[in-house]
Amino acid sequence: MKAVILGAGSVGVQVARQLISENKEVILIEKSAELCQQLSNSLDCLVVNDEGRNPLLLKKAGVANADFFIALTGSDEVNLITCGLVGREYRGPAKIARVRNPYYISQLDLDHLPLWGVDHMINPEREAAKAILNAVAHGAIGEVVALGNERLRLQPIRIGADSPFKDRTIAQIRADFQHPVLVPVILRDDEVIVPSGGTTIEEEDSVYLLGEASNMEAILAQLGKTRQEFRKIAVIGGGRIGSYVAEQLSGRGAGRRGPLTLLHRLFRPAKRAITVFEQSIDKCKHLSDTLPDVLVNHVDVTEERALEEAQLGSYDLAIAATGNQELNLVTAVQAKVLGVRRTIALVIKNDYLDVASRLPIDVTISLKESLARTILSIIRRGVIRLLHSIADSELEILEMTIEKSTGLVGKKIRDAGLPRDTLILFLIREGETLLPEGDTVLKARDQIGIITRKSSIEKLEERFLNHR
Amino acid sequence: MNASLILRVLGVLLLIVSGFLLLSLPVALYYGEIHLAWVFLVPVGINLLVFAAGRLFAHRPKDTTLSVRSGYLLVALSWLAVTATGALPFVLSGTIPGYTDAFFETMSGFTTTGASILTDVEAVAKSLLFWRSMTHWLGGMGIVVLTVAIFPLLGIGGLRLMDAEAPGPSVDKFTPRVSQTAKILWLLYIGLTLLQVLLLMLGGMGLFDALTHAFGTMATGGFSTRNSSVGHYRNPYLQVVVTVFMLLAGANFTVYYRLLRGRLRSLLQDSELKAYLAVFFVAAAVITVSLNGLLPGSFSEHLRAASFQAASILTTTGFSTENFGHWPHLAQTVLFALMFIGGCAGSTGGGVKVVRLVTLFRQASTELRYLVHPRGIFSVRVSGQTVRKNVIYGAYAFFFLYLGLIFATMVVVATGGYDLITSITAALATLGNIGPGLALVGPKANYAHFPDYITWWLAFVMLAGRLELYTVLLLFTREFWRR
Repeated sequence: MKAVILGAGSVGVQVARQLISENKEVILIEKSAELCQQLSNSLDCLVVNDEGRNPLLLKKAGVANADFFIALTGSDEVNLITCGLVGREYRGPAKIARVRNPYYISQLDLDHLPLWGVDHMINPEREAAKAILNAVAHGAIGEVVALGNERLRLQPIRIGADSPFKDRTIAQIRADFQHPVLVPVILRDDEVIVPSGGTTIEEEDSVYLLGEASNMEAILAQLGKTRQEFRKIAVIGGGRIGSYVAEQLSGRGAGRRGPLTLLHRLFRPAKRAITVFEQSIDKCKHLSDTLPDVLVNHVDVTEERALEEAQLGSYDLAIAATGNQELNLVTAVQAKVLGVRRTIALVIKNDYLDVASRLPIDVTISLKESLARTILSIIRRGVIRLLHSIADSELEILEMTIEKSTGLVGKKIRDAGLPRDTLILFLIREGETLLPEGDTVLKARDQIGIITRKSSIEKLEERFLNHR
Repeated sequence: MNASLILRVLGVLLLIVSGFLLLSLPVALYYGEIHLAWVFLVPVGINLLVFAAGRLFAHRPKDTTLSVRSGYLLVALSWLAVTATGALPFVLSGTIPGYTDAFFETMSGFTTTGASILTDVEAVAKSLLFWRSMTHWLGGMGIVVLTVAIFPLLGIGGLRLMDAEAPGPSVDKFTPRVSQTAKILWLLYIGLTLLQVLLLMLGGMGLFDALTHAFGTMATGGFSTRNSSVGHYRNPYLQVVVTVFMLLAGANFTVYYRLLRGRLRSLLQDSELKAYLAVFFVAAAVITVSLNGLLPGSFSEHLRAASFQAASILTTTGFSTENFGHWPHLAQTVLFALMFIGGCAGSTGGGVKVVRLVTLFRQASTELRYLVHPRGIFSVRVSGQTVRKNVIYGAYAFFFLYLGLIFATMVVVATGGYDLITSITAALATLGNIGPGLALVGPKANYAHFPDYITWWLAFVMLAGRLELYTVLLLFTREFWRR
C-alpha cells in the first residue's frame, strides 16, 4: 500500500511513522526544506520538498498509483484544494483532508455529501472533543469505547491502593461478578499485557474491562465507581476543543442530530451549568456570542489563585482542554486537589498519556491518538476495520467478517491459530452480540472483534484474507 | 454639503407631496367645497416652483452620492419644507387663522402625533380634514422612505437616507436594495390601510370617515374627524377593529414581511414583539381591573375601553373612546407609564421604542450578572442576536437625550404657568408623537391654549421625536457644520 502525505507537521509525521511501522510505502511532501532534511534522515520514507500545490509535482511524487492522499497542512483551504486537484486528475487514491474549521465541517457532518471529491474530512480536534464528550457521558471514569453494535463497552479502570482488584488474578476477579466480564488488556508502566486467567493485577495498573453495556453500570458499581451526574461542569480553555465540548454539553449546536448528542440528551436529566474559563478576551466574546447557555469567564488559569477565585472546587467535573498540554495536566491535578470530583485532561503527545495515568486525573484524552485512530480507521476499511486503538496504537481492536473461503469456518476459537496476544473479544452472529468462549465454533458471515498487537496485523491479514 | 443635489431631491420630494395634496380636490368636489380648491393649489404651485428651481438652477450634480451629513440635513429640511407648505391650506382657508397654529397642526399631522389646536373638528371643511388625515398617513411610513421607494423610477439611486428617518435604532434591510425594502414597506402599509378601510366600512362607517380613521390608525397618528374621537362610534366592532389595527401599526413592519414569507419561527424568537405584546396585555389587564372597581359599566365594556386606550397610548396613536382624564388614578398612572414606551422599531409608532427598552433591560440584567461573576463575559442578546456594544451605547444615549428633552420641554411648558401633570404629559405626548396627555392636554382638551413660543417649541419637539432625536439634534452640533 502506498500513501502520499502532504504536510509534515507533527500530525503528518505521526501518521507517516505509524504507516511506516506497518511496512507501508509513504511519501511525505513538506514545504520547509530544513524540516525535509531532518525528516528524510529520521524516517524511512521519501520526503519531497515542495508546497504541494503544483499538480505536476504531485504527479512526480507518484500520486497516480497511491492508495491514499492525505492532506495535513495547516490550512484547511490548501488541504481541500489539493485533494480536489488530485481528485480531478486521478481516480485511484482515496483523498483525506484535515479540515479544522468547525463551520466547514458542521454541515458536512450532517449530510455526508462529498465535497470536491474529498473522500474523508478529518478533524482531530473534533475527534478529541467527541472522545471527551463520550467520557463525560459515561461518568468520566475512563475513556469508554462502545463495541459490537454498541452492545458492549470497553472501559479502563485504574487500580488504586484500595482497589478490590489489587493483587488478585483475572480468574478470581471474573468469578466476583454476576455478569460476564473480560479483561483483554492491562497497561503496566510501559508494558502492554494481554493477560491470561492467571495474570495477577498490581497496583497502578490500568485494567480494561469488557462487558455488556447494560451490565457495565452494575459492574462498575461493584468497584465503588458509581455513575455520577454532573450538574456543574468547568471547561478550561475555550479553543476549538473546549468550545465544541461546551457547546455540546450545553445542548446547543449545529450537529444536534448526531447520535452522540442524542446520547447526551438521554444521560442528561437536569439542566447542566457549563462554565468556560478562557484567557483570551476575543475568544471569550466569541463564545458568549455563540453559546448563550454557557457562562464564559475571562480567567487566565495560570495566574496565582485564579482557580480558587473561580471557585473551581464547587464543580462536579473539570475538563482541561487548553492548547497547552502541560497546563492541562497541572490544572486537572489542581482541580482534583481543590475538590472537583472528576477531571478530564487533554494532552497532545501520547507520551503524556503514561504520565497522566500516574496522576490523579480520571480521564486523559490524547489529540494525536484521536487523530491516528481516525486516519487508521479510514485506511482500515476493507475486510478488516479498525474500531479502536490503545496505548499509542500498540494494540488495535479490529472488526472483520469471516468469509466462507477462509479456513476458519467450523473451527473452535482456541484452534483458529490466531497470532500471539490476539483475542477474540466479541462475535456478532445474526445480529446478536456474543461474548465468545474458547470452544465457540466460528461460522461463515460471523463478524468478530479482535484485539491484537500492531506487529501481528500482517499475520492476521494473511489469515483472514488469503483464502484457504 | 452638496447643495444642488439637496435642492433637486427636495424638489422631487415636494412634487410627490403635491400629488397627495391634489387628492383633496375630489373630496372638495364631492362635498361641494370647490371654492376651497385654490387653498390646495397654492402650496402645489409653490412646490412646483421649488422642483423647477431644482431642475433649472441647480446644475445636474456629477455624482449622485450624498454625504452622510447632507443626508441628515436633507431629511430634516424635507420635513420642515413639507410642513411649511402643508400648513398653507389651513391658513388660506381661514380654518386656522394663525400660521403658528397651522404649522403646529401640520407638524402634528406629519409626525403622526395627533395633537390638535382645533376645538371643533366637525365644523372644519371635509377636504381640509382629509388633507389633515393625509398628513398622518404620509408621515407614518415616512416621506423620505416613500421618496426612496420612488427614486429608482427617477433615476436616482443608492441614497442612504432611510437611516435618518426610519423609526428605531437601525433599518432592517430585508432585501438587498434599500429602494426595494422601502417599496415593500409601503406596499404593506397600503395593504393594511385598505384592509382597515374595508373592515371599518363593513361596520357601517362611511367611506370618508373610514379613510380618515384608517389613515390615523395605520400611521399611529390620532387625528379624528369627530370631536369625541373614536368614542363617537359606539359600535363595539369598530372600536375593536381600530384597537387591532393600532396594535398592528405599532408592531415592526418586517413582522408582516416575515409572516408573508412563512417565517413563523423567527417571530417566536422576536424579543421586541414578545415584549410589546406582553406590555400591552399587562397594561390592558391592570386598567380593566382598575376601571372595574370604580366606574359604572359592564366588564366587557371596561375590557374594551381599557385595551383600546392601552393600545392607543402604547402605539402612540392617541385616539380615545372615553375621557381617560376622569379615569381612576391607577388607570391614569398605567397610561402615563405607557407614554414612555412607544411602538416597535420599524413601525409607524413613536416613543423610545420597545426594542431600545428591551436592549437596556438586557444590558441592565447583564450588569447584575457581572456582580455575581466578575470575570464573566456576557453578550447582550435581543431576538437571539448579539447586540454590539455601540448599539447598546446608542440606546443609552438615546434614552438619556429623550429624558433630557422631556425635562427641557416640561420646563418650557411650565413657563407658561401650566401645572406639573400638564407640563410633563404635554412633553411626553409631543416628543413621543402620542397626541393627548392628561389634565389640560387630556383627550377632551387640546393644544390651542398654549402661547406661541410654546407651540413652536412643541412643534420642534414633535419633529425631534419623529426623526428619532439624532437627525434633528445633529443639526445643533458644531461638529455638523464644521468642514
